[in-house]
Amino acid sequence: MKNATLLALCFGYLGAAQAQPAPRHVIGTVNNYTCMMLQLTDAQRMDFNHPPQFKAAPTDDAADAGMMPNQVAVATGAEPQNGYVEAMNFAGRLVWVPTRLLAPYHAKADPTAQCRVVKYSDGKYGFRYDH
Amino acid sequence: MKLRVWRYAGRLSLLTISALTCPTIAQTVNVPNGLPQTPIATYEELGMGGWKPPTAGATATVGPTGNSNASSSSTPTSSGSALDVMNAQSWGYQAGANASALGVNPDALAATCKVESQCQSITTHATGSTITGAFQMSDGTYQEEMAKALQSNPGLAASIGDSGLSGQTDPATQAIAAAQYLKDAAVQLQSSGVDNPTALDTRAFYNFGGTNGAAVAQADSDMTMAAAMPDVSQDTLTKNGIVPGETVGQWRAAVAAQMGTSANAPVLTS
Repeated sequence: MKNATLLALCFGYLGAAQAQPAPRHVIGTVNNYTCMMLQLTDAQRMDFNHPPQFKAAPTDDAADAGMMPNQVAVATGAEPQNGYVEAMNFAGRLVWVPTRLLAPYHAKADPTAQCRVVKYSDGKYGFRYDH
Repeated sequence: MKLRVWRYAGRLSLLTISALTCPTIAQTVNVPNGLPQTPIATYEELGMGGWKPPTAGATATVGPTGNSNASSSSTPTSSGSALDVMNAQSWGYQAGANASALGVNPDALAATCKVESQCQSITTHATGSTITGAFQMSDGTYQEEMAKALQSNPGLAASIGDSGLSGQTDPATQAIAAAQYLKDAAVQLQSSGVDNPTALDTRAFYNFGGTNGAAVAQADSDMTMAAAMPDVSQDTLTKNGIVPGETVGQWRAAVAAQMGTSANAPVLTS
């Protein structure tokens, strides 16, 4: 009886521990996308009402497809269309970015950092900054 | 009687044994709404406009790594709930109700007022700045956000006495504009792919811009803030209390230390 209670207590603890979602982790580098950064003026960066938006298609009048993060996963070697280049958002969906806003990744305050596009265990995409 | 004592002793030893036999599993004890507050005397000082000392939490100024250099701010740290701090104010519950009417979590709103003013209605107009009140909003932002809030929920107009600029001085009224401001950031972060933006996420949004806010919200904790926000100079980082090499995780911990347990509260409730 005591052994059964002891086991139940142990499994109770284990159950509580297993209820916590496992933290996501990187499962690999996405080689066909390149990490680039936005080049914005201070005014553009701090314009909270009109932050730069992805486009759903490579035209100025296409629908917005969400706010851009400062780093963008751009399709490696893709040819621009109407001044837009193919990119991917965090969910892995195809979006378009105006080429005039893009610049190679370079961190002002961390100049040796390099950025790569990665896929996470939860199926999402993101960036790692290696040195 | 003796038998009962031994029975309790047996249960105690069973618990002890189970704790010893399951040593790898940490147990977390959560105290709802934080630890009870100890009474702190309230006093007024001439010229301080009825300023009261913070009534919750302030204990130490230590960074997340135990190194004070890693801290983003010298603001006292707290592990309690910011909502308790806000609700301790006479206007706290009304502010929370106003936030809820806009679909904003009162806990997230409270985290903002705790960081900005310890939820004290601070008047700073005398120094020439228009930034004022418990939520430290400028006149321009207040007016813009209030107009948006009333457009989104016209029923809120009935609950406020003054929809003009002088409403800035009433924390419950200012809370409407502050909640709309949080909602704006959360909606933008959501459109960027941040699933459930928290009060903490909106902090980076407003401190460093929307695009940087999205990058920081998605960054792993072991990345440096400087790498996650490549267009921000070290000078700007330093002005925001971020030391060279500070990681995203350290920054989050430092901000969370100011916000208390409300830091990870989702902003949006609907």
